[in-house]
Amino acid sequence: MESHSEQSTECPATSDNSDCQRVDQYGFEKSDFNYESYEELMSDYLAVVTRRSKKWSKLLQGTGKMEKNLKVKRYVRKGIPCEHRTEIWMAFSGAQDQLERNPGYYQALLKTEQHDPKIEEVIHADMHRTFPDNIQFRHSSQSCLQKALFNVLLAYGHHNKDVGYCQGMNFIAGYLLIITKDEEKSFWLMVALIGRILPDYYTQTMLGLKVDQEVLGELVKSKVPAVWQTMNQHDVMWTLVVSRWFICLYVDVLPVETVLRIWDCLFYEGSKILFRVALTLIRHNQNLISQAKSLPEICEGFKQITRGEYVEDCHSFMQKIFMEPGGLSTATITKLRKMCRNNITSESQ
Amino acid sequence: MRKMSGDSELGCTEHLFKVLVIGDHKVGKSSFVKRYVRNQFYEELKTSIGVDFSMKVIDWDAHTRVRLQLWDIAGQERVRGLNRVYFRGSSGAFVVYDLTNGSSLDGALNWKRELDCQVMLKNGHPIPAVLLANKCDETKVSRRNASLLEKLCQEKGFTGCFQTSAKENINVDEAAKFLVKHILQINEESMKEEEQKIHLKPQTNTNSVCC
Repeated sequence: MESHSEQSTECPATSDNSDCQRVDQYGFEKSDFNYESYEELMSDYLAVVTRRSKKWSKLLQGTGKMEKNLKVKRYVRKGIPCEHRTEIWMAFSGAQDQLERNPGYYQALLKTEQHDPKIEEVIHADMHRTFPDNIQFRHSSQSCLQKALFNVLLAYGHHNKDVGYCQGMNFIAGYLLIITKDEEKSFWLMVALIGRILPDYYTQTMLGLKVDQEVLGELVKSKVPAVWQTMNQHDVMWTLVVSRWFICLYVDVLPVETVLRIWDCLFYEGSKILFRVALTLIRHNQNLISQAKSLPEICEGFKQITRGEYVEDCHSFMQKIFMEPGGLSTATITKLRKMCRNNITSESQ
Repeated sequence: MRKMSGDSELGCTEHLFKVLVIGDHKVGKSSFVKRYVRNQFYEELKTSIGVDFSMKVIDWDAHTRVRLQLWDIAGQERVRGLNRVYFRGSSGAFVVYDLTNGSSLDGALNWKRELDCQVMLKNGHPIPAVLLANKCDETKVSRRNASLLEKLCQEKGFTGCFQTSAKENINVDEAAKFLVKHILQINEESMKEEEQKIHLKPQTNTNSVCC
């Protein structure tokens, strides 16, 4: 496995906070940034990251190929240090295997003479609208990531014609580039995510997404009935409040560090984690949501619960997602997905 | 919760209207809403995913307060399937296109058709919809094109059409006022109709609900 030691300088553990007061280690500008509370949170988290980092280095020492086991799973849930993030994501999502088995494939996709002008146009339209709040995505930036973002999305659009380009994928590819700093790896991670880890979220019908929104509804019905009742009473469809959560895999919904920790588990364990996160947010804030008296109040509530210390403190948030919603078996999810898929397809006929 | 009209103690009527903001991607829907609601403009906004709400409160006259609930709906084609469900219960719509991008006008007409399929007034008429030719600061519209646009607007059943610029704050308030005026008119007419229905049937038990 390759090493990514050059990235370690960009880790929260080693970044020099004094000269990046308004920009975080990933290049995001922080508006209404409370430096003191961030500092406090970070200094606690720094200790965690340092501890985890040592453990990971030991774990990775001398290993040839990484294998999934309970210990590694526990390690992943406690957070992958960012110097190892790319390599672990690549290994456990199967992206590394794919990359090695298909040398030159990514480059060939980009060299194709006939790029679909429609795809090019829609991707192009979102270039300036991906992370205008991130200095790495500005034209003025020396190593502007916009071109890389365009390439990854275009290559993906050609690789998977059923999907092409769907808005939201720009945010996902953007995060992958920020972490891996490598177009080809980002591409293969997209392939793993969209092709294997997630059900069909981004196809023309977005059926998998519709299904998962309803699955969440079913889970809320049994696990947080008060919220389900409120939603029902005001006739609010789940898609209204959670489509962004699923389409963007929490990018631009939850704080950056929290999203990355969620993605650690997403690449290792699969899409079930997305439900755990949603259920935790909803369950923890059930009083707030069930007090809402109208549809706009509910929607505002759902926005509010994605902000604040509860989600900023990513380490304890990640502990809570495995406690708060209680048991959530893969069998349950599979069963609910099947049921909701049947409901949706029979309704649309 | 379609629209709520109620008399407060001071004899002031409050209305709540749901208004859609629809159109192809990148025509400036979110920018229009941000300008109208907060009088702000950002050169580069993030891609909208799903739907965003904003509320604008207008003191229409001494007796009338209007709360507009603006639903800014993401524009990409495939998410429309998700978005269709948002249409119901709306009282009016802004259909936006980008003057610098011709195909977005076709897009706007598609959105209008879709709108008319999904929602209508009680009497079966389409809900008022205003066509916004946005980004008018970037291109000049000839007089001939302007009159063609007027004609198209009538043909396709729009209530009106405005050349707007969210960036330069041109015609944003005017277009909104125009739409609200029409929504209020329709609201008043339908209230009158309801009253007439009640008068026509004096035997209904309207008196049974007493305090």
